[in-house]
Amino acid sequence: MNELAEKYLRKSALPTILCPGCGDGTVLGAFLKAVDELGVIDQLALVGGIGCSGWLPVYVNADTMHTLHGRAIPFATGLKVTDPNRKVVVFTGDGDCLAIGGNHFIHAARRNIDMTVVMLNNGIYGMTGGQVAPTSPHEARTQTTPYGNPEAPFDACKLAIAAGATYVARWTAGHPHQMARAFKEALNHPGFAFIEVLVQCPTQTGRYMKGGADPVAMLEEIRQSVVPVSKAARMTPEEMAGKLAVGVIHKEIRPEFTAELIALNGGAAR
Amino acid sequence: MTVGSDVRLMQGNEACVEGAIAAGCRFFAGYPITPASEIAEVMSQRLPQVGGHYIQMEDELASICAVIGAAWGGAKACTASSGPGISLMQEGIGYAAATETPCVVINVMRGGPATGQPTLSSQQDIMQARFGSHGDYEIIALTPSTAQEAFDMTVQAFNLAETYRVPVYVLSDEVVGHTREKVRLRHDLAEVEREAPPKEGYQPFRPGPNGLLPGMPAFNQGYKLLVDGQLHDETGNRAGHDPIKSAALVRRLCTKITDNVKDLTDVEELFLDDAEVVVVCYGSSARPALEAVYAAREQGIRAGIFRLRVLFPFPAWKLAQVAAKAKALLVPEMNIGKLVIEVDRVANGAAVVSLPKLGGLMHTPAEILGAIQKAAEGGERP
Amino acid sequence: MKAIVIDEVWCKGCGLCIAECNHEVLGWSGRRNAKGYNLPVSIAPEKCTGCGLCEAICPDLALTVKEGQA
Repeated sequence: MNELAEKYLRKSALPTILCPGCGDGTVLGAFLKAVDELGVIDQLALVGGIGCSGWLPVYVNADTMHTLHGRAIPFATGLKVTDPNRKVVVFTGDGDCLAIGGNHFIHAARRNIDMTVVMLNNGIYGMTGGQVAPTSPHEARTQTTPYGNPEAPFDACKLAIAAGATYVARWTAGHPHQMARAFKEALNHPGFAFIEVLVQCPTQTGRYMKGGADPVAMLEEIRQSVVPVSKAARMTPEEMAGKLAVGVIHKEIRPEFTAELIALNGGAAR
Repeated sequence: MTVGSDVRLMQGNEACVEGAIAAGCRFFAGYPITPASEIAEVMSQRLPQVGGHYIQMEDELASICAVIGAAWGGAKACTASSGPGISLMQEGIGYAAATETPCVVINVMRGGPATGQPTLSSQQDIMQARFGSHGDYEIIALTPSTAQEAFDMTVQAFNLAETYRVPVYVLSDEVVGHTREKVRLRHDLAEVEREAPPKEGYQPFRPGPNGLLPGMPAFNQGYKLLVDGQLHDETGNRAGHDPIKSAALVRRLCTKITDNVKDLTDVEELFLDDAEVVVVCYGSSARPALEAVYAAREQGIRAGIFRLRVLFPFPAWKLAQVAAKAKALLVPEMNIGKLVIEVDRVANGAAVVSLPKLGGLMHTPAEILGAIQKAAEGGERP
Repeated sequence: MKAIVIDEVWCKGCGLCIAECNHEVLGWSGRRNAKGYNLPVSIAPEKCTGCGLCEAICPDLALTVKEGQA
């Protein structure tokens, strides 16, 4: 394994559960690069939900909590408030974050609590065998939409911004260097940082929606489906149909939850 | 007034908060629900005064999860709710049990099921406390009968949570929660302090010789912890695929409580030396039961009280001894008859009389006295 | 001169490294590892610019770009 893996992986938890060609692994590598460059491994508190994405924290040799489906963010909230110096990072999936975890996601964004939430979006429920997800395309055939998905997918970044997230970025598993840079920015951002990463899932999305488990073809298709945010801003809705913007989509500074809690309640201490 | 204590008039809900703070609680995450909302309100005022944190989460699922996160973050933590909210928390409580997270859940029981009777009392949820989450696990549950006990038992709950590394319920109810009584904010109850385990050779889920996990670590102290809701081995790594390790963990989660039932037994016994008719009671329904037993004694009836303060683990061993000498065991409870099922199991030959009360009102002393009289008139032990 | 070191135990033969390289440095070796995964190999190391894309894309962190000979 490479140097970063040697240095940072929790060897007792290996081998990973990741399928060959799964984009999640690339995200893990980019995250380790960011952690290494910032030197923050001892400050990290990693929290994973349930799903393939939720396993990534388990593979990192840091203080890690592998929690309940959809609930990583509230666990992370308890960790953050009890020590604001922690760098709390949540790894979640599109189902974990936007379906069962949706309520916690929007409230954490509204609170602007200082944490980084990395949502690995493969457009499907991968771990359980390929059921439809809130990010599956309209009319997609999945294990639970054999006649086609009647629903439209979420745009998770738009949702995050509307809910109040103060750092919102999207990349793909085909942009590892950019991802690593975004992780560094997010880890240093004083507020709720949300990073969506479009990842190829060859085993489920590949086989059920794309005709085969070909990670190379899938990743190329994902790369073709995204547009840099500056270019996207100049495109019409018709031109953007079926495409998503990548890059830092939103960034602002506003009062952060833990700091506000301490500031407002600080005067109460007897 | 004793030197070193406060004596105040307060409702049980407020007493729970004072007990929690006295026990070292510095984190509360909760959601409003009748009849527990006062706990959240008083926590929001008191915790910041002692350097703690109150967060109102977006729902009860988030609340229990935040409590667990806070516990691993280094704080003694608790939440409070009632029926519908406690139902929502069950998955989280199971996670706390599986990961051996010390935490306290205060359930101010109200009438159920579903939305039920938000403003009236019940004891319908005692078995939910014991079996509410999926899987095999054990919890500890305490049942205060007075506002003073709400204080004392909340302290006890935090201590038990630390010692046994388990979620502990304080099974209060709307009567105890909302009745204002004299409470002595005692300073003489010892606090079980959280101890950081030594790092050398540390296996987070390896029990000590007493079958219990030693101390409680926190994140970012250099342990590199892995806390996982999946069945795991002593390092925390998943072991669900391993039948032997899986069975061993689940067994230990249960036996660490059941094997220690004698240490955990906490019962108030009254007049049991010669009691023929024993009223087995707990929580708010113990109050009219006490009055009824005193009245029965005045009438010359040999009645007695077996009042459970720790409801679960159920002290079957102790009740069996009492039952062996009694003619009848009466079980008044504000539900359809739940604890009576446990009592029946250890009746040991005594007649068991269930005294269920639904509708939200407490038993009257007269109702219980009537049942005592009837049991006393009955023949010898069946 | 760069060397691409491939960890033959961890590699899952997904082929992303081969596809990612813009200089056709990597190709299939024709060998499999103990788990049966097809292994890539550096077929034209002299063309490697050390961009690190193969190392960054590998989902199994099984690839290292090093200075000097393999």
